[in-house]
Amino acid sequence: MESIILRSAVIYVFIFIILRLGGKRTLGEMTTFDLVLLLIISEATQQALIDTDHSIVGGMMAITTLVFIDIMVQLLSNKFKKLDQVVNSVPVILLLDGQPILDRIHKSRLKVEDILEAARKLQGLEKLEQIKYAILEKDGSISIVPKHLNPGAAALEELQA
Amino acid sequence: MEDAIKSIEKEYKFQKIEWPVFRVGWVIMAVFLITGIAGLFGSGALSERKEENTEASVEYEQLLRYSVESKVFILLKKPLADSTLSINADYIKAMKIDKVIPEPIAMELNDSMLKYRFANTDIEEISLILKPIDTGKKQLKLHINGTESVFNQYIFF
Repeated sequence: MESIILRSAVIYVFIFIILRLGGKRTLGEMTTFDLVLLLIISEATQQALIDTDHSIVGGMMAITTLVFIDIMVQLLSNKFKKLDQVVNSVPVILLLDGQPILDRIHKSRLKVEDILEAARKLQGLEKLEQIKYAILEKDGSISIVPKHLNPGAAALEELQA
Repeated sequence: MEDAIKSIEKEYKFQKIEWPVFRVGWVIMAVFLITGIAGLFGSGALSERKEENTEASVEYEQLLRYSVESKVFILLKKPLADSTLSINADYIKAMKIDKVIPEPIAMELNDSMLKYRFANTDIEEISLILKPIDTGKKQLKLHINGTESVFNQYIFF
C-alpha cells in the first residue's frame, strides 16, 4: 500500500483521537498555550506525514487523503447519529434559568466566568439571572439564550413587578 | 431586510450547481487515492515490474516519484563473467545511486557507462538503492555478461 496515504490516514486518526480527548474547550477557546501546542503538533506531524518524500505528487496524495477522510467522516456522521456523537460529541446545557449546573461546568473544564463572558460578548448580558440557557456546543463555543429575547417584554415585566 | 434575504435566495442557483461539482470532486479524490494505493504514482502493484532474460531476472519500479527511494533487484542466473555490472551513465543524471549491495570493490565511469566491479563472480543477486533526482521518462540500461537489458521508468514530479 502506498505509504504516504497510509501514514496520512494513521496520523489523521491519531490527531483526531488526541484532540477529541482534549475536550471541546481545546477547540472552542484557544488559549496561548493551546496555540503553541497546535503549532508544535503540526510541526511534528509534517515530519511523520511526508518523511523523505519531497515530490509534489506525494504532497498532493497526503492532502487528498486528509481532506477525503474528513469528508467521509462528515458524511457518515450525518447519516449515523451514534457516530456523530462519537466524532463530534453532544451539546451540554451548563445553565438553566439563571442557575449554573456546576457539576457539568467543572467537568467541561469551564468556569461560571466563562458563561458570563459569553453572555457579555454575545448578548450584552451582565448577570446569570438574565440567562435562560447557556449551552456548551459541539464545537466548544458557549451559546447563550437570554430570558427575554424581546427587551421590551423584559422592561414590561420589570414594571409589572 | 426582506429584500436582502431575497437576494440571498437568488444566489441559490449557484449553490445548486456547486453541490454536484463537489460530488464529482469527491469521486475524483477517491479515484486519485485508489490509483495511488494501487501504485500509479509509485510504490505499488501498478508500478512494480519484473523482467527476465537469459542472464538475469530484474525487479524494478516503472513508476517513481521524485526523491522517493526505489530499488532495482537483480537476480543473476549465471555467474558474472567479468565480475562487473554496467549501467548507462545518463541514468545517473536522473538517479542518485545511494547503495549497491553487495558493495562493489571498484567503480569506473567512462563516456557512456558506469561500471561496478565486484570482488568475485559467484554473486547471485545485486540490489541497487536509487533516489530519483530528476523527473520525466528515463531509461535504465543494464549490461550483464555482455547482454544489454533496457527498462523504461517514469519519475513523477
